[in-house]
Amino acid sequence: MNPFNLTKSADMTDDLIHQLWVSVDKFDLDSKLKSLNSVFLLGGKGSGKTHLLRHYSYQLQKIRCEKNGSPKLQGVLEQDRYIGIYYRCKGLQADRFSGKGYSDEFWSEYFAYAFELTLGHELVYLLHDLVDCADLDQKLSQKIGEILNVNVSSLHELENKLAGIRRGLYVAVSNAALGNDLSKDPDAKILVSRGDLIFGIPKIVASSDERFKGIPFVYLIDEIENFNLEHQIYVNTLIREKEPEIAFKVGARRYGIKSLLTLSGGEQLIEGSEKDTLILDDKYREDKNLNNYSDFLLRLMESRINQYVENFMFSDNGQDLRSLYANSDISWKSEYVKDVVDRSLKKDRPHLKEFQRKISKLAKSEEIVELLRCEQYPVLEKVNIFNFYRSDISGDPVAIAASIKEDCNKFIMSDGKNKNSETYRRLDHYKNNMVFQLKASYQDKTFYCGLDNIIKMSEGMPRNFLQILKMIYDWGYQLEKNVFCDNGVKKFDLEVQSKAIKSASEWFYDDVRECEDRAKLKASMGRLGQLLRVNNYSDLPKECSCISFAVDIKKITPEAKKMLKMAEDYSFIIRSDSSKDKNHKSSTLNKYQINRMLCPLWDLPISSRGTKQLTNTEANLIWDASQDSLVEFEELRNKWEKEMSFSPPESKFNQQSLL
Amino acid sequence: MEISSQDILDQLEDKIKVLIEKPWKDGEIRISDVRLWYKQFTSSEDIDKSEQIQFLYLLSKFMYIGRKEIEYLLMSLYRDFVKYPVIREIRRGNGGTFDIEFLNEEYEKRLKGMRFLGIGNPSESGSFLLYRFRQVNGIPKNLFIGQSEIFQNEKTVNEDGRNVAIMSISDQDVTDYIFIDDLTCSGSQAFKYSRQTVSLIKSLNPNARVHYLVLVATKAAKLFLREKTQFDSIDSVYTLDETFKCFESESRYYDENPQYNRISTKAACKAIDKTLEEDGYCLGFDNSQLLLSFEHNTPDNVPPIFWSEGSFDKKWTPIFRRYHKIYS
Repeated sequence: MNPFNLTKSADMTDDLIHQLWVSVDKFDLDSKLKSLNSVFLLGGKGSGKTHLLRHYSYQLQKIRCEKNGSPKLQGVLEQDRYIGIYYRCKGLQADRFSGKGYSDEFWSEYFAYAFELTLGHELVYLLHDLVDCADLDQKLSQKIGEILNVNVSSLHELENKLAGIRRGLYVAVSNAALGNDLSKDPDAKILVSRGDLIFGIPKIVASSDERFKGIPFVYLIDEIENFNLEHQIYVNTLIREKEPEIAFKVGARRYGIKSLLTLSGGEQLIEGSEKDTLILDDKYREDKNLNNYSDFLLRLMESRINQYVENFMFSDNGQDLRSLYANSDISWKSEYVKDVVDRSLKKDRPHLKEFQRKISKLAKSEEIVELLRCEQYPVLEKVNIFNFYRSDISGDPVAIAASIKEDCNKFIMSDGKNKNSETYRRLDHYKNNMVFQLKASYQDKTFYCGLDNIIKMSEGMPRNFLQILKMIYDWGYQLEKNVFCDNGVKKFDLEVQSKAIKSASEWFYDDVRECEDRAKLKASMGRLGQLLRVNNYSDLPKECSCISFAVDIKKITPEAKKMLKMAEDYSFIIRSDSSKDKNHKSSTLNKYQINRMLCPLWDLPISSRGTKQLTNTEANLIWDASQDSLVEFEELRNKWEKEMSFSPPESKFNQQSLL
Repeated sequence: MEISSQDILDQLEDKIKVLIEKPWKDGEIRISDVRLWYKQFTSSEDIDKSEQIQFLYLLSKFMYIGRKEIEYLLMSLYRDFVKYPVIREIRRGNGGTFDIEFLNEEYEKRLKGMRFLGIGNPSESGSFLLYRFRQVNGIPKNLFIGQSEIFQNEKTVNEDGRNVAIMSISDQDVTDYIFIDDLTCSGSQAFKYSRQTVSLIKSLNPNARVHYLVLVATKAAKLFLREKTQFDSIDSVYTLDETFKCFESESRYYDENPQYNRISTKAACKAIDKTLEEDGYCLGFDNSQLLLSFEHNTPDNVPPIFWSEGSFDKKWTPIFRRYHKIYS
């Protein structure tokens, strides 16, 4: 079985959530999620919000107590010192509380009531499971029952009663579409008001048993993006009006919070005092060297292998997970690149052939090619060509080629340590471009490999990481190169990884079904990808290893701004630090980087170095679908291609015919 | 971005991987097997000249009928061509009644008069399907018989006093003989059995009805059998028209996309097929050109490049396994 098959926490049982849990201590999340401060836990799809919120739920607290051998009441109250009530917003079917001929205000009341009953029911169910003495059980049930005006003698009975009331309400609400008058339906009679159960029950519990005093009740409300604006405003109001021993932790996608408004005089929730916002994938990405994040993902990987792969040895025999995933050598001495080039020697080294074609109008072009040729080190050969393209060749091109060759030789003689050489500087900046271009001209698509690169590509979203590993496992199996199931296979090779990463990239790109404007979004991303590709695969890239761009958000069309925001919301692009406008130093531009998960779609490098500053027109042509004129965009792309491709000067000196 | 031959091969491999992991999973094929198979063809930088691309494309169009699909086809076969028609008859004869108990009782009575058989001898695929047909449809075991059980030899005394054997129907209460098969492409095999067995049933018991039910049939085979045999009914769950012949001008597998060349691929297929099997199997038995395989076998109506293991002179690695019938 593929150990990385399960990538969605929502599909996992509580036991599995526990077994596959990996601590996030190093990200300082624990204190925030257990504290009395309310937190909006946001993040891209697959950043781990659900796993995290479920980890803090009572169901998981209970499993941890069982594993530790401590009684659950003692464990929850004395060790954890909080009670987590997890609720996934999908279950409430919030859409039913709208339309059917009633006003939004009318439905708001019913939604509030249903939400109160739902969380109240969850809490009573939890207390029934947690409370260890019959007297307390009875006492709590009676006191809580009084709120609802029902006579019960146990929490179990109360739980059933609440379930019945809720069911009755749902049937009545559903029947409203068939003409049922809710105001006259006894099942739709509102029995409690805002907070009576959500705040009232914890208060009753604390006043009924000393052991519960000071123990926070933490409502973990997940996937709130499924609630509409009015419903979210209601939840915001609860957050604002909460009682001291209660906290809300609200999980949502990056774009999931529709409003911060409350019903309390139309005021907004105040960041820092009434709630804190924590963006999970940003938090993971804050770790610039990715040390903690890498460590976290490796342990995540280890937990899956432990769970699903029999007899797999880890540190006992020094097995390093990184060593299971072959890495590609892209150094100037790379044997792999040389092998790629040598394998197609018969085809006359296409990159040299292309170079020869481009300089064919120059005098002694063949001599130039021979001077720049460096068969032992194809990466340097490519750098030589690049250096030639960047030189002022209006003088004597042969002399220039000779000086490039000399510089290259010095570099080789110094074993690549001569920092003063032009070769060194170019290699330092443009190595990725050179290697990618070289491989592409030999039809070699093994751009993406190595566990550290996979970690980098996941962009703070553990699900991306698992998805890539899952696909590597699948492709490894398909090609009989799977370290976990094909005997004797020591590593997932470059081909397996590259194929899998390409598949994972396509999966990520397609996994935006909930986005209504996905066609427009993808069209914009396609245009962005094409332009970045033009830059990275040109003779004279404007920016090296460029997967980032900067744009003056204030000067683009509203539609372009909207699409840019959408791309960010769906994690197709990632906002980074602002950058200064190269032309107007006083202006600040928004800087974005294409999500590395998407780089394989356009064969882009995953190391980000240069940032392409887009003009307003360019940004509008990419992002504003209303300006989606194919012709205009084609013209822009052609312009980029022309600007970035080498063409020899048309001076008389260079005309071969005149020699 | 210029698309290279390798890009196309990668795209086709990606597609076939999805097929392998889902609809073809019973075939236990891996991409490594697919590679072994397609690397036997010639490659070229020109997409339309690369046999590897052309045949991999055809493979990506292949119809594989796995275990689960066969079960559903067998359920459909029984429900749509046995049970529902009988229920319809009963209702018609009883004022269109909806009385479910009555209908069930009557159907049970009618079912007792039915016998299910495989086409061909017990080692052939028709008979092989019977076991699963019985399981998925919950039909009593005693309603399944072999062909030898249709008839019996009765001893009688001739005018000259000698004992002679006369063939008669074993069970005169049988109303319907239902022959089950997986595929009929040309109809020749069903025709052969019809001549041998169906005619005899009809001559010994003119009131008995004989049906031929098949999972997949070509339109031509059904027309041929309806015209040339004494089957009372011939039905199939899938009917394949001429567009399923992969290399013909009406082929559903080729569209306007110029990178896939039907005519040159047909010529290449013919040339290779000839080196692998006898002439009669070129492009599939009787020129069938089918792209179809069952979990239990690959019909010979499929071009040999997909299933042949080659000859003594030329070994070939097939992609789908075919279990040959050995006629003694």
